[in-house]
Amino acid sequence: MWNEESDWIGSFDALLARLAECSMCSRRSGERPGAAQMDVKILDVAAEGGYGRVFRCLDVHTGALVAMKQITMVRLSQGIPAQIIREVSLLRELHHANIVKLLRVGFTENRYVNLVFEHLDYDLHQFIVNRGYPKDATTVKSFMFQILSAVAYCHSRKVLHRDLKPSNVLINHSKRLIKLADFGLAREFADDFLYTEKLGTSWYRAPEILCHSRQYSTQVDLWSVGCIFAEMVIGQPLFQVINCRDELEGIFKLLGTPTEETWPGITKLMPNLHIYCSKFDPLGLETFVTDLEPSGLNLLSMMLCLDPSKRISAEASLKHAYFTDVNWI
Amino acid sequence: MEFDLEDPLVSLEEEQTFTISELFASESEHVPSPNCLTSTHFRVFCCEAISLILQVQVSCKLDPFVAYLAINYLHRFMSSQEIPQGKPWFLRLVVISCLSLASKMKNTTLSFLVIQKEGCYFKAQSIQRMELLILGALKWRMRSITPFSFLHFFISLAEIKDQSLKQALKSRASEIIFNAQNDIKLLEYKPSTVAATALIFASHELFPQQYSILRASITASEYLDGETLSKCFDLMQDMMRMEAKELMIDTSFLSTETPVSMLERNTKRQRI
Repeated sequence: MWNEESDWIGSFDALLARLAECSMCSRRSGERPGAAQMDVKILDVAAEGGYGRVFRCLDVHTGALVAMKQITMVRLSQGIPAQIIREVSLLRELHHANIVKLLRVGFTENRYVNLVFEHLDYDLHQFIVNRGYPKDATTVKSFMFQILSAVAYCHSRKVLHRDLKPSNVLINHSKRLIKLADFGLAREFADDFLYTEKLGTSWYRAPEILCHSRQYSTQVDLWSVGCIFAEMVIGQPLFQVINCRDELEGIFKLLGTPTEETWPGITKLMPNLHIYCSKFDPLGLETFVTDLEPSGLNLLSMMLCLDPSKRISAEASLKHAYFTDVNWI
Repeated sequence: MEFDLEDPLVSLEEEQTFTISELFASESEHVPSPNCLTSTHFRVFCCEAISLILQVQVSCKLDPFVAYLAINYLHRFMSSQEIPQGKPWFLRLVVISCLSLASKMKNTTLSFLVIQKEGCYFKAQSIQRMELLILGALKWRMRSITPFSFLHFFISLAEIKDQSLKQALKSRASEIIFNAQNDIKLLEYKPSTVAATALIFASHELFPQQYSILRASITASEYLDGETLSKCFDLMQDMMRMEAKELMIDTSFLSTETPVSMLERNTKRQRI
């Protein structure tokens, strides 16, 4: 195809040098790989996951705390992984006070992609476990309003998060500000990433996903938000407190086994539904979610609705009576 | 993460005024730099590259949106670069990388092995490096705003009740937009202008009785400049005439369309 391989490599280097000024792609030729090329100083490791690691860092220009997510890439037979491209591209277009801000993107050739985010103090999972769940009804309502605002914004742009859970909800302590994070990375990428499947259940997945439906939409995020809502009120994952062998059984125990009448299309979606038939009458949300005002329980029941087509939307949730109290603002 | 490239900023349930404003405000960031349009090198390079993209699209049976997105990346990338001379491999590497990036954004699988059969043989590492170059040059903003993003909005202005009419209108306008991507002159116009023009043409073809209403509602939009729209209309009209001529030359079409119906269609277009 080409006569001199060294020539096009030289061309690449020239092109790379000219791109050094790109504010989003801060790789500079000549510098050694690592944190230096990202203009951050690593303080410590904040988290480790299947995707790679998250470092707490100082921005060398502003002195601000930032979080750098370092994603390890393997098997580059198909170039840059699609998930990274899509996550960064989508975050570049999502500008909302309740969505985490992506500051910079960089790469160490053939090994890592580094995403630099604004830093927040902790996530909602840590908040619930370590600091006691927000018994304060005002905090729960404020957090829920912010989460729903971010989700409604995403959905208005036809972006599904698909992985909403407390550890993906970040909190700024002093401002009690919520930001959604982890748009698409914290899940299995069979071909491009090293990933270890966590043992145990996922308590935030919507029933239509658990039924392996390929046709799902924004409603899956509302189910997850409902699970988060319940968890903030009772202090632990809702479907952890229900004794069950899998999460679908837990859902049916709580809300009752669906029928064609309650969820049109369910028998086609779940041909083996008979395994659960006649087995569960609904225990009811109120059995487990005590200490939530009636309008809150009503909103929760509309989020944790089995039939996706009847589940409340994020936009409609924001207009629910639960949020009309003037006290919490 | 799932999203819809065709309508990246349209609400699932209702129009939101602020969203529409943002869409129009940000579309300029997804078009090539204006300076490049006067460059002969840019035009020649892009014409060859587009031809290759469309060739790969046909042979690999790619989604037309993937090819359209790849061409958008091509224009944006090449307008920000000097075009290297005397390196014929560069064009092919850019093409394969743009197609690869577009297929990833569209969530379709495009194996490098398949593309390599089309004579675009490069190592995966080379493609990866070019992908990174393109990503950086485009500031990782790969969810491009294209004319397709605006069709729903403009159609909604006309307040057409019949859903099948709206769908037919959208389909024909999309077809016009796909066919228009060959002409590099169209790059002078914003995606919203191209979308509006395509819809006006589509409505004239499909629903002559609705034409005047739809045209009036589109041209009344605060987001469009009447003079620019008129120029874009003239350009697209020329393109349509050229398309008609090409149809008459291409003998393969003669077997599927009678001379009478072709003449009728040609006459109708000339009346626009």
